[in-house]
Amino acid sequence: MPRLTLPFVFGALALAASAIASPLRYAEDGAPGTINPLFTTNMTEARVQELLFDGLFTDSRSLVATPELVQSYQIAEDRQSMTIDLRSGVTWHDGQALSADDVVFTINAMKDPTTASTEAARVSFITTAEATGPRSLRLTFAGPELSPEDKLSFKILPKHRFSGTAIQRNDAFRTNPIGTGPFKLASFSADGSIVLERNVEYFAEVDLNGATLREVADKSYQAKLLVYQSLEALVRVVPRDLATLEADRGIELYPYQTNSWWYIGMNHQGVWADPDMRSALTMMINVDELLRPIGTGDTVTGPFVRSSPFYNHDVRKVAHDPDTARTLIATKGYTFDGTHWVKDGQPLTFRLLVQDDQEVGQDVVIAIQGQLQRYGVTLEPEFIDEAAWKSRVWQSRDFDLVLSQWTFDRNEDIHEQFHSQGSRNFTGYASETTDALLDQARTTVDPQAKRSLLQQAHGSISADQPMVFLWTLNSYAAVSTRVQNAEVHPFYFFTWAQDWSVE
Amino acid sequence: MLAALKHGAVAALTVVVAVAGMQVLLALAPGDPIDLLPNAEAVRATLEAQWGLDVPLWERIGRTLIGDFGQSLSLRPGAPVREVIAQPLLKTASWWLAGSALLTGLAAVGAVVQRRSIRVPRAVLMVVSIVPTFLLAHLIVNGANEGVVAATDAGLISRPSWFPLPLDASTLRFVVAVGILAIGSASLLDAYTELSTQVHALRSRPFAIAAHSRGEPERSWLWRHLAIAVCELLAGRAPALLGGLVIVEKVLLLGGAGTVLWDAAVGRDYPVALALTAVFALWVAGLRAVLYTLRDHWRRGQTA
Repeated sequence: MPRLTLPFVFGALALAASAIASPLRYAEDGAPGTINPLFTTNMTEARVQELLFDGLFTDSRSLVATPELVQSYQIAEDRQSMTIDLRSGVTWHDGQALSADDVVFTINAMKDPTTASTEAARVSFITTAEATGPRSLRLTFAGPELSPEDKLSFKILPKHRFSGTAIQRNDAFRTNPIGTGPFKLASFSADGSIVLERNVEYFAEVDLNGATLREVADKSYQAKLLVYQSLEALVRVVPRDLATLEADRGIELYPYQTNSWWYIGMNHQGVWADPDMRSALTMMINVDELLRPIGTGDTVTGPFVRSSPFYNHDVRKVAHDPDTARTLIATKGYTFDGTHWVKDGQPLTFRLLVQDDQEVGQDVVIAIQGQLQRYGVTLEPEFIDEAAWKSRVWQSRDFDLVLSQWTFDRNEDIHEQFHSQGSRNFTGYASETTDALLDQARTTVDPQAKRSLLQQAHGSISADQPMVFLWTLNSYAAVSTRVQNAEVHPFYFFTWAQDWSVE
Repeated sequence: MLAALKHGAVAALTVVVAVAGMQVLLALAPGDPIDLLPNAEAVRATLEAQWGLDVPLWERIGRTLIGDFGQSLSLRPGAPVREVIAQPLLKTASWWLAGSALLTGLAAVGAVVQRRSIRVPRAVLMVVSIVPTFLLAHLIVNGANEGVVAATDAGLISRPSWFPLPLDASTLRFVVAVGILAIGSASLLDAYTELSTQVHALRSRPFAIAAHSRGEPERSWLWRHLAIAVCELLAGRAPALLGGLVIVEKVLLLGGAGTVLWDAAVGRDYPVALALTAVFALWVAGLRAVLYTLRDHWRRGQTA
């Protein structure tokens, strides 16, 4: 009798526990149109993928690359190749076993030009990937890699779900994805909700009993839903809702540091090619005054967040000095008519482009407009959508100033933003010194040297003032107190979600 | 017959102009769906051909007009447009139908009963009709939600199944949506005034006075004659109702065709935006053609 009773009791307890445990409900501004890590276009997709898929490596809680699908690995002495043994007992959501072929396939699919993967750049450092056994593979790199683990967190795809490495965006996988992650897709509704259920075959323990994404475009309504206990988590709280959520006993705010900083970019094709004019603008902007009403954060003097190892703390902030700014503008042939700076009968006027979904962007623009108006400079802001932004800012460079922010992953690679040949250097900034420093930082395999080079790059960029460096804002996630063990990743948010649980 | 053909031709022309207009607007708007990708420049050449962005404008317009809508580009990449828009269109149609029915029902009943000293409170109608639709929706939603919070905190009620509005589908959400649509977007006050004028005019006509003197009940002729005015009312209000749906859908998270059209325009999903424009134009113009044809037919019958 006892033999029968004990399993029965444990079974009943397990059943009761599963009945009590609820899935986590969270809101996103927009629902993903597709779930395929080859074609990630925004953070909403990246967060869902974090729940469904695994990478070779992932971040530990101290944000250090740690093996996920990898059992063991060895980096060659010349750091130009790496051998990997995969974890045993890992299965896809359809029950098939993970193999080295899946990893090789994923890398080749990302590199295949016909696939046109948005993630292709993440594997550009890999020249070849070959399976050397059912669960072992070898990667060869284009050059010596200081820390390849940091770059191997891209999500692995199941080879058996595709017919080749040339994959189109409309592949059926987009709405029926399978991964090896802690959660698997239960439903993907056209109404903007995605339901994930616990992967009971996952190689590690999963405490969270599923997750549900709800599309809620209105940020204020998202906050209300959390207060109404209709959601358990908000990925990011906008500053205006902080006080309300902070006052609610059922909600806990989780501050997290993002590798993200704001800036006012200047188009170097026009008046901003002149370093004195760039200095003048920087001196006219009172960054502290702009930051105060929109939230808390740290002002920055260059292209890294203050907590970054590459941040150069010796670089001094450019002082708010309107008098010197006026002098600089006057030396450029402008005269002040009592209201405006004028040259050749034209007032000093700039178009400032801002993305219409830039959080608190409108507040910042109004404040900048007010500050510059005080010193005789007119600002004409334009709020544009993402497609128009990419077209006018990135392609045609049809702007004087832009207000935006850059967000980086742990690698904090600013090469594309500040190298004269960088693909994201839309301001047109060019400096031989900075180019040389960034090139060396990319190729060095010495961590100390890399740190020193990027700190020097910070100094060099800061001295050139290609943009007005503003701040990094403190970000807050809001999570219901019914959620236990909640810890959020600053970039992918759900990296450790399997350890969460909802009462 | 000739009149029906004329109404049909106007409807067809409306559809062509609407689709061409939307295509031109999208073409003029800076940026395309490839711009929205992180590595736009690297994949532009490949995707322009794959997505048919190298096809001339007139060809895209022509394809849409013959019902060849193609595939979604950014909303649900690769999914057939028909699949993307079918469900939302059905939802929108149901709200639109219910909104139209409520509008005409309230306006007609209000117009008819005014003689019986049950005066419709004009001030109330005026307020709800002039308040912007989105504001009306926000007021109702927040009022209902905060009311529930206060009542549950006070221990008066338990949490209702529809709470909080409008997160999940519920009867209340449907009623609120249809109500706002009929009252706010379609301006119930105007509709009521329009039909009241018609009822007043009808009651002054000789046949109505004669019927009254014979002691015949008003319902024997009033509703039949009012049908013409209702047709005109519906035809006139159809575009406003559809336009209002875009706002109501957004505020009440309804996820109908209006929301999809908005998202398609922002995401530069040309095939989806064009297909919905064509369907909406056909919807409004086709309905007007049918209603005006019916009206003409009834008018001829009455004259005869």
